[in-house]
Amino acid sequence: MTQREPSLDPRDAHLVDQLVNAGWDPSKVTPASAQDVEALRALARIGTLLDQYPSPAPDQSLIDATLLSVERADAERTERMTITDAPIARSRWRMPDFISVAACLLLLIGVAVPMASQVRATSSRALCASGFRELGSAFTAYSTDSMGNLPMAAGLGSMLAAGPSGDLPTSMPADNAQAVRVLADKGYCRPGCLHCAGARQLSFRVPLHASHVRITTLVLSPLAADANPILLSPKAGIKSASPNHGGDGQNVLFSDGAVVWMPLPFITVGPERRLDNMWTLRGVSGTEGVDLKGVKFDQYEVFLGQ
Amino acid sequence: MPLPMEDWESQTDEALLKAHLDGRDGAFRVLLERYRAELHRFLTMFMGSATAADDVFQDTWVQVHLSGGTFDQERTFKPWLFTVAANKARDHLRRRKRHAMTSIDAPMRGTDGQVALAETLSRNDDSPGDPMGSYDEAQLVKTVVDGLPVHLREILLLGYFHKMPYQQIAETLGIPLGTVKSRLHAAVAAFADAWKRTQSGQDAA
Repeated sequence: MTQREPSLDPRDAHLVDQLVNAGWDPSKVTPASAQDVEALRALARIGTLLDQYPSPAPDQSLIDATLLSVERADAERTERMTITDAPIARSRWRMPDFISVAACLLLLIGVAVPMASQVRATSSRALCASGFRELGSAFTAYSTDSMGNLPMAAGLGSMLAAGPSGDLPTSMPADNAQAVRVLADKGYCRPGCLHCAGARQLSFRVPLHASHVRITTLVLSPLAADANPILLSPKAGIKSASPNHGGDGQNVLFSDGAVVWMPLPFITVGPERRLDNMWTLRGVSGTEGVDLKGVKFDQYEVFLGQ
Repeated sequence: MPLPMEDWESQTDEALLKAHLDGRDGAFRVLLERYRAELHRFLTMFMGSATAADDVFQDTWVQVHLSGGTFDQERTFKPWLFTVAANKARDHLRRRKRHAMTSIDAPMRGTDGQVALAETLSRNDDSPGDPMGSYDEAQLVKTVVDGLPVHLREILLLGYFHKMPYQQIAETLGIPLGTVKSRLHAAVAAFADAWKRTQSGQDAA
């Protein structure tokens, strides 16, 4: 609890006021009563007591020390002002600053853009591979329901659609991609399973010498892959990888459901000089193709020959 | 026109400060010398220690030097100097965490906090002490003054020891005139009360 401060009797307070005005000289204050006389004596006594307060006079060294402190404070202030002013003096935009900043920006762009591009490409490849796995499951499920047949169109020249009887319309699809679309239409995979994120299109196997592609006859054989460059750009395609992922390679779905990223295109010329335009790793069986020279393919046609 | 060195002593405080701020050597030393005893005594009583007063004395003048540019030359230097000194002294006391004071400011028993001076310091108390006892009495005075709350002690110092009129105390401390009066009354009452109690204690011993 806060205690009240002591206060003076009103008459004593009045005397103190008079005393202050008189420069604390009691002789200059005229008491109005005997009580005032006593109070003035008491105040004089208080003055006498207060005068006894021990207070040694400071010597000259205090003045010298104080002047030194002032000089030191002055120096510190000057130093602070110098530091504060320094950035202001350099705040003008000069050519070397501009060049430095521009170089840093270019360096940053030079590093960041390829990195971002690389990340995007990796992500795109992974998404496509995931879609291919789903497609592989769809192929398997379809063939189970279709006596082992796959939905690809058969015969390079005839462009006939494959698939179990009655599953496809009597008017044959114009191209193989349309034939394969039955997987999505029949619910074997999601509607988007035939599209690849960041890719132009997909390519599917076409059986050139059989009316149907039967999954049971395929051993470690490609079923689908990224876009075939030879069909998109016949002149450059023979020496390039699929354009889907920046020409770095292509995803390939094999008949056993495996999805493999193949960074190197592989074209082989077999004993019969048949050309395989499937970009696969060397040694994968069933990749020998036919000579596509002079043959016009729709870019959606399947590219693999058998 | 620059003042010759020998004229410093005759200059007013305000003129000396201005000369110092203008970069004139010697003026500041004269100003320091002029207030050396008075300011140091004020600070010694404020701080309760001559050593602490030395520190605050230096801090005060450093502040005067650094803030001299803000001083209104139309005003009187002394109240401003004591304002700076009192602020510095309070800062030091705050750092020393000496807020806790004795209960000297407790109200007088049975008087509703009102002190009658004539009853507090009796006629007998007016007798001068023996020479051997004057040292003890001075120490006792120091104990009592040092034990007063800061806001009462500073009023007593300015009012009694520096003989400042009420208006100047109000300017120095930046408080209303009425507050200055009531605080000085309280300071006188607190001192008288505390002194009486020390005397009672000695008598009992």
